Amino acid sequence: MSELADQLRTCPNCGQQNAMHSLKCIRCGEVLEDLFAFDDIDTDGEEPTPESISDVLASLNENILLTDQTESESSETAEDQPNGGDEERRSGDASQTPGWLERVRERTREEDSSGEMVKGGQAMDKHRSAGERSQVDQAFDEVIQRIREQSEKERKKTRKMETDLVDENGVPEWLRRIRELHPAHEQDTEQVLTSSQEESFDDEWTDEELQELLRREIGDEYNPGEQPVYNNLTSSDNPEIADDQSEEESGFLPIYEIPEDFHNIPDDDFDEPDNTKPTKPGNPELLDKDEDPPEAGNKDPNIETESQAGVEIQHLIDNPTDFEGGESEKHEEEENKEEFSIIESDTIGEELEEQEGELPVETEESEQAGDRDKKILKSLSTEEEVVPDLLLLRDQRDRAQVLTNIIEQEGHRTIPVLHEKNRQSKLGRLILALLLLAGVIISLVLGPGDNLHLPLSLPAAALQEKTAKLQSGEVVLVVLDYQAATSSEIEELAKPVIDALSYQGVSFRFVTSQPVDLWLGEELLPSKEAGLAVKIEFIPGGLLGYLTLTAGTSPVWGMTPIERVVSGGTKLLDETSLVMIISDSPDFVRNWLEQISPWHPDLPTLAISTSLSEAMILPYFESGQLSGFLAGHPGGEGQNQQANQRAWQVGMLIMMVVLILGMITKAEADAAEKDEGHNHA
Amino acid sequence: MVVIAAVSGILFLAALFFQPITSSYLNVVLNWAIVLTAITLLVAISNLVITHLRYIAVGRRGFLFSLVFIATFAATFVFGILRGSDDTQYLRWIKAIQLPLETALLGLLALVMMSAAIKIFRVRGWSILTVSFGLSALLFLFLNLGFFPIAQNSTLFVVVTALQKLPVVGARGLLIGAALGAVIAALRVLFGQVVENE
Repeated sequence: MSELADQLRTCPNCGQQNAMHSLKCIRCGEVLEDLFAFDDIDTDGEEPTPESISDVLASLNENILLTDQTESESSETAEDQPNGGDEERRSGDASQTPGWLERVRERTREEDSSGEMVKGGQAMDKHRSAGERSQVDQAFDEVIQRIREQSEKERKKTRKMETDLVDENGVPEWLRRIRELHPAHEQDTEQVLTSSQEESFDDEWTDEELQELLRREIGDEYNPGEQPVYNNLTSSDNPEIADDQSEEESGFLPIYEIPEDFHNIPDDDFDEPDNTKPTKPGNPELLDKDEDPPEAGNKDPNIETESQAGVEIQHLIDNPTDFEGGESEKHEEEENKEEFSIIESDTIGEELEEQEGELPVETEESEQAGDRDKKILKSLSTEEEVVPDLLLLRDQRDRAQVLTNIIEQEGHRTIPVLHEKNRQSKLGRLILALLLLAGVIISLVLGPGDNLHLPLSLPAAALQEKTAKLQSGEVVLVVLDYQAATSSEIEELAKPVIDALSYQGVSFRFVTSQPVDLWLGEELLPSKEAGLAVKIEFIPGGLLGYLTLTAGTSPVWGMTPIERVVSGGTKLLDETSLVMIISDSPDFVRNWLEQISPWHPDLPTLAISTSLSEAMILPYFESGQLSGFLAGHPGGEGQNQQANQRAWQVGMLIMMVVLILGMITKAEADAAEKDEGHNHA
Repeated sequence: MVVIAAVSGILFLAALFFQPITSSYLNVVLNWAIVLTAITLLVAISNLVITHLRYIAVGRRGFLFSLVFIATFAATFVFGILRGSDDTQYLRWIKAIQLPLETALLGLLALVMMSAAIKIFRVRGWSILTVSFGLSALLFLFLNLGFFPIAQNSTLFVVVTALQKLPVVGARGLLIGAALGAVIAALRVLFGQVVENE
């Protein structure tokens, strides 16, 4: 077999090749006892019993290979006189017997055969078990490590392919993404870029660019002209590094002081998997895997200071193998370098593009300084080495993107509103207002037109019939409850009815619970030509006041405050022949019919209201609770003469046109959207 | 508070049902309610005046409107006290201010309604609600124009009358719903089911 095969052991159970020092099979866990198997010991895989260990120890004494010839010959005598025989063996054959065997023999002699030997065997078994566990764990770790390395290699290849993507213009993928994030800035930058610059632009950062970014990130503390600190420290702490560096390079090493916020890797990123952690030299995480990266401002004396960290960074840069260990670790580090996914931040992209624009105006002096810095950067990092401040993990990039989106959306509306105020809506509203005004003005100028010949509505006919039956001297209680805005409509309906009743000799009593009706109701008062002197009484308490005056009686101790205000007190409806409610509120009419009228069921109730209330009042008329009412344009000769037919028709036509315009506008918008969708498709 | 409301409701119901024995007690209870309502109105007015006075004192943004309010309120109150609420000149003076204001507001309401009529389809889109609203509005506007002698055609008159019953149907549904809601609310008050913060 080959040399490799000689170093491996085959598992008797599953055939898995295991390391020579493995005690258990890494595949099936079978105990591999061959290494520590002894002659005449059954290696069946079972845990050795104390008795078996004792036998093993005893056999060591009896083994012919481990004992000399004299002892084997006098074995019987030795069992009878163990001490004397042992002394002779130690004295006579000390040079030929191995040391460990001598110690085992001595231990065996010291312990009796009844129980001490068992204890020794158990201790030995424990020791063996601990060793086995550690070796098995080590073997397992090696296997897991190999699996990780293989998977990381595959990921590295994928990422490498992604980062190497270059479009037809030669723009790398990562720069294209940055430009997508800042399209406006990109346009400006494109105008500045010349063709030569575009040709020189590569997906790899130049040393000058990195140097400029270092200077901007670190600020005034970064001074490449000063005496380097790294070199001195490195030379003093690590002579090997000092020997490797040339004097020229060491002379230009900058003072790279780590600011307090030097690293841009958040603390909560330490829970990232190992394969995502940067393993490049210069990364603080590389300083010690078991310790957190040194942070400036940390006063813990156990943590190395900034200068020490800088020394170690320089040491790692120049001798990465010193940190990683052997060649295998070096190879692993190179793989990690390749697979490490770095994503330049938006700020870096902007600065890079700004730097491109500044390139043509650079002087020779700056170029010389750039060459000098280039050498320095070469000492600091190779082409793959990037200072941590220039790096962003993917997770950090995502968080920054989320934050950017939040900032961009700040102050903007996230919930769509029903309609937005814009110039178009204002213009449309102006057109509507002008249209309405034109209609009203034209209708007023042209006059009322022909009188309407609409038939009298059924509630209006009932009201007319009911009022016609009233005799002279009967009292009509007029309840006012309307506002100034609707007074023009209400009064146009109520005035003819009241005038007709006044000519019939009917008496009126005007009451209201609305203070505004005290001055509005004056228009409804019968004309003085009829010889009626009427005033409007105020009923405090609204509907409760009406209820008090209709449902209650005066207590034995006298009149209540409400009764004192109203003439007649609780006999408000006692002397009334008819109640006429003049209100623009259907609720008031409804409440009156439901709360007040039941106390005087024989008293007929009429109502005069606006057209909006017609639908709400009509059910009470049909149920008989309301004897009749006027609302809107009830028709009839009297109403037709007062209505401006042309203005009414103009208003109705304008409303119809507006509704149709709304439908057409919506249909047109839908068609345009549909066409746009087709174009996109 | 819940107990007071429940007891008051029960007593009021008893006073209503046991007429005319309890009519005098009903009168007293209603007077209490009216007086309490008037007091709350006075508290509200005083709170409003104090608030606007505070705005004026601290120079809050828009305090000029508060100044106008305080001035008009004081003038109305003083003239009302001095001349009395029955004075004709006083009533005409208030009417000359209030009537054009409210009429202008109603005219603006008409303009807003027209604007809403245009935007309802653009904002709400095509739905059963918007389409039915638009068609019904057009229909009733057309019928109310008075261009066509509907009453002369008996068949058309029946159809139009049936259509005009539709608003009444909706109004009846609203009234029945409001009545049921009022009954449930009253029962909750009577049985103490109303939470205090409601």
